[in-house]
Amino acid sequence: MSVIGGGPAGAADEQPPTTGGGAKNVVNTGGSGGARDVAGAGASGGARDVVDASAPGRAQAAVDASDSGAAQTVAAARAPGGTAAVPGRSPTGSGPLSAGPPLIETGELTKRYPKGVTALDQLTLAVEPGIVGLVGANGAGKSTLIKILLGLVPPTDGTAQVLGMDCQADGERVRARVGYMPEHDCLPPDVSAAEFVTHMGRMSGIPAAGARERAADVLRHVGLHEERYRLIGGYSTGMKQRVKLAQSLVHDPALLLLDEPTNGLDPAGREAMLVLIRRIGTEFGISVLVASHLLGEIEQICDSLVAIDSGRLLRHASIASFTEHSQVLAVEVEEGADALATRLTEHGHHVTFDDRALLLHLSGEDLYDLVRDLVVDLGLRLNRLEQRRHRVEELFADPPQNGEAEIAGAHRREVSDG
Amino acid sequence: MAEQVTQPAGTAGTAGTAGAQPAGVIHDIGYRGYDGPRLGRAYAIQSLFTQSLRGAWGIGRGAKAKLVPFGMLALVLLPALVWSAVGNQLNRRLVEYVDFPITLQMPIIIFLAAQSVELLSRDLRFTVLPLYFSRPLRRDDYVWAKLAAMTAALAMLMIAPIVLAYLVAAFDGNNDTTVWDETTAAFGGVLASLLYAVVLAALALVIAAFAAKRVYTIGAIVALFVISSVVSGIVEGLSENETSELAGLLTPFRLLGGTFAWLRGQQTELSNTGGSGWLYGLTTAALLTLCVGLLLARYRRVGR
Amino acid sequence: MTGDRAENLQQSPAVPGVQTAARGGTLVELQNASKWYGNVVAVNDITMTIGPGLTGLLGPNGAGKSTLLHLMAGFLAPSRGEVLLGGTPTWRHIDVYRRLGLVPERDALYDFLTGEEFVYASAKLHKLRDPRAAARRAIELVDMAEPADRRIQTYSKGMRQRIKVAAAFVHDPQVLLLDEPFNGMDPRQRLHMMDLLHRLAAEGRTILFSSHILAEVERLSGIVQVIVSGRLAASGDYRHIRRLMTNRPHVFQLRSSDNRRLAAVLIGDPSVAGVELDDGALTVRAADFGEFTHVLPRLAKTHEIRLREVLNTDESLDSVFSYLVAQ
Repeated sequence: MSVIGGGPAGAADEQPPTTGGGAKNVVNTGGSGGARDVAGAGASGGARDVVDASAPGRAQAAVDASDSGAAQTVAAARAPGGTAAVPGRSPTGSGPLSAGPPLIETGELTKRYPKGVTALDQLTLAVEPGIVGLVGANGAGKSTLIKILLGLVPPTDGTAQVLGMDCQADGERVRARVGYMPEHDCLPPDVSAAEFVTHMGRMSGIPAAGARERAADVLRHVGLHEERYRLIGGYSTGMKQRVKLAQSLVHDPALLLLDEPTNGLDPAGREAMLVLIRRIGTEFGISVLVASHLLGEIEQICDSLVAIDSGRLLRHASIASFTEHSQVLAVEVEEGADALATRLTEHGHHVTFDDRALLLHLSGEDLYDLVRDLVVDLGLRLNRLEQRRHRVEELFADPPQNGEAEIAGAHRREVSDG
Repeated sequence: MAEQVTQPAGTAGTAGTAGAQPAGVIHDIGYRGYDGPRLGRAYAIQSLFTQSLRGAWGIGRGAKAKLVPFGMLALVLLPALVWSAVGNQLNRRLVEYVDFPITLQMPIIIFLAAQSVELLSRDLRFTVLPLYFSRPLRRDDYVWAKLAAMTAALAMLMIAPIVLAYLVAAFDGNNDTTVWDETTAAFGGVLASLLYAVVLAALALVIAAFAAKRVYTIGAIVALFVISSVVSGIVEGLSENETSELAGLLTPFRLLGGTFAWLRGQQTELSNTGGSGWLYGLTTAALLTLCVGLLLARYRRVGR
Repeated sequence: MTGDRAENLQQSPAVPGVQTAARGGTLVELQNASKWYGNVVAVNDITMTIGPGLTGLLGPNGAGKSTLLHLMAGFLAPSRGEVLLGGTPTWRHIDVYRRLGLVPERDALYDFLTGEEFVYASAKLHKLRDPRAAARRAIELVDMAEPADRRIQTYSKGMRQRIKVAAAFVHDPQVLLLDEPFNGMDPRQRLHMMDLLHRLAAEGRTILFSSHILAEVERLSGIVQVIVSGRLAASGDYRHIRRLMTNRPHVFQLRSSDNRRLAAVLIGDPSVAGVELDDGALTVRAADFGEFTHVLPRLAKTHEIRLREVLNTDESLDSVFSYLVAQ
């Protein structure tokens, strides 16, 4: 994190303190990821009008000595998750900063469709800011949750709040502060990306001049440069996906809802999109909810995961807790795996095979040395030695009794760790 | 922590105040938040209206998109100019201002068909709607903005020839009619145009909202006007005096002409409603309500 | 380096795809096959053999994967060269359809039909003796028995995908071609589909599937055909392909009881091109894979360093693929 130059000519320091709900000191937010507090949005949102120019829903960088000190500790604590600790970005988990309402909160949220399909079944959640994965069975759960969070679909029962605002009663204000990228194609081919994203900025209430600047900025951040003046119809899938992302970012939302953002992309495009989402969550300081079927991608970019099965909460926890080390040691040698297995068995270890790897129960530190020495004794090559990690996929590994996970069945499986 | 964030800005500031030219500066062009005003729903509706109105005239699009709207504009202006110029010579109005829309209906229908498709079908066909509805804008707002834009675009198309004809007629020295007479007559034409515009826009948008394919939609709208006008003509020809007055109810342009005549209390050759003017008014009101109702209902369901 | 290596790969007897083919079963072969549309060359002079078992077909968007699958299925005629199924050209040989099923990427489904009607129609099209039973069997196979009497328009993406597989599989073909079969499936359905493909492959069928999710391809089958801009860039086991890229040092991540000492020891060995010491781990670039994996445990043993982790970080299909595409 190198914040250099800090905003346009470092002028923003002298912004007048905002009035209204819990007036906070406001510092320059010009820097990349310039200290923002997403969790604070709710607190301010409660008391202020979102349309208020000086307090756009998100409290900017509460620079109260104690507050920010706390932010640093927590941010540092979460660095092992593979993230650069960006100043002020609200960390996952409940730190001292999360005094305000959570990013997303649902209480006994239920949605039944007329034809008897239960998409959500008494879902109770409290999601903290960060990059959050949302995995669910097909068809119903995850898209329904996104629509409820946007206030577009009324729940059958229960409550849903985003940034402390009720999604039903306050839908408009929620939508002003949330960005949404749908799964399907949603771009007209006969306009340029610059024009389209500007238009969408205005649709979010940003005045024309601001919308134009934001559109140019955001398109640059998602990696569209000169191309942005060309018609969208001529874009590749990857470029279109970037435009979809840009339109969801143009109004600087506090929360981004991404529905299958890597859909249709090839490996290179996928990787680029994942890096971009990670940057949005860290550098840009915007919380992201990523709905995806690809657990590997969720493991790669998310801080936490919400897994829904048959409309019920299967598990909600940090990614790190899903991918803890197991007590299984995997060993791969070039040739002679059988001989190695025999010798290990002789030493009283139980050996199983997984494709080309030998799996051992990691009984103690000595096992490492034993493996190393046996490999040397047998004259083998050691290609891999690794303590296996748990995978998010294990949540879904046990197939339900009969087929249709997406519709029926209250089949629920608690994950067994270790 | 706080220092880390504010410091860079601070250093830049001190460098400035010290008066010394900094040896070099790297500006941060990373992501910036947005602290400016958020104008909310009303502004979004207004922006959608403006964008749609521009779209209806092909402005901000390629040259091809301007072909139909400006072509049709030429096709309504030209006759108006001729009527007015010839009228000046003959010292009478060849076509009443209130009858301009009905007389110029062919280019108006083509404009209406092509541009209502432009306004609605694009968003439907490319499923852009979820992007609108995930913003503060409401579903109804979208309909009202589009309806207003189509009405405005159509009104512009119909009022332009009236203004042109009026200017030619009113400021021609040879003409016996006073400027005041000409002005009131033209003003009547403008009011009539507004009535035509709003009803025709609603009618065409309903069709555009239910059909996805561009070509079919345009065809359907044009067909509606042509067929209804033929049917109306046949009915008129076959029926007795009394009922022939009602034949105008069957085709939009004559219906609206009749309605305006009834509202104004003065019929013209082309808007002959006999004593059934109230029926024309009622039908128009019902038609408008039905179309707007259908539009709103459609957009409550579509794009979910 | 590009052309040479591709030939190497094709001639190499060690390519497992070819090896298994020798055991019998139906082969899909391309011989100098090209397909062009005007000046657009979708498939460019490809020679490959797909044998029994699971093979992944990889390539960036627009590389020609779908065209290739359609050539194999006999839906397209090659502009040049030959496309053979069990020795018979696929184009204009009705007989071929009996031995092959294609699951297209696009949903050209009949939404108004029920799942069962759709599969049944496919069975009738194949003129099967008992189409009703065949349809039921195929539906059972993909776990769609319960929703089979519902209309396809009510199906989720994953269900559509499975009913398409049932329709393509209704005549029990020896060769199954699938274009992005996992697209839109949820995690559990993905696991089911993987399981299904494994089962079908274990029965000796030839299965070729395209996918963009490299981690899944890696798990389903290490054997891949990589297409880049219409050309065959590599084929075979991706680990083997990786080893053939001798000009790229192999990157290992090591953790041990004493990383610093291990680093010092390793840098002295000729098989090591570079060592980097991060906190907690050691990153080693090995010039010679075989030599390094041989010498590493020995050096560790001699210096009494406990090895806790040895990871070849760029031996994933991901890195192999990006190397191939970038060349």
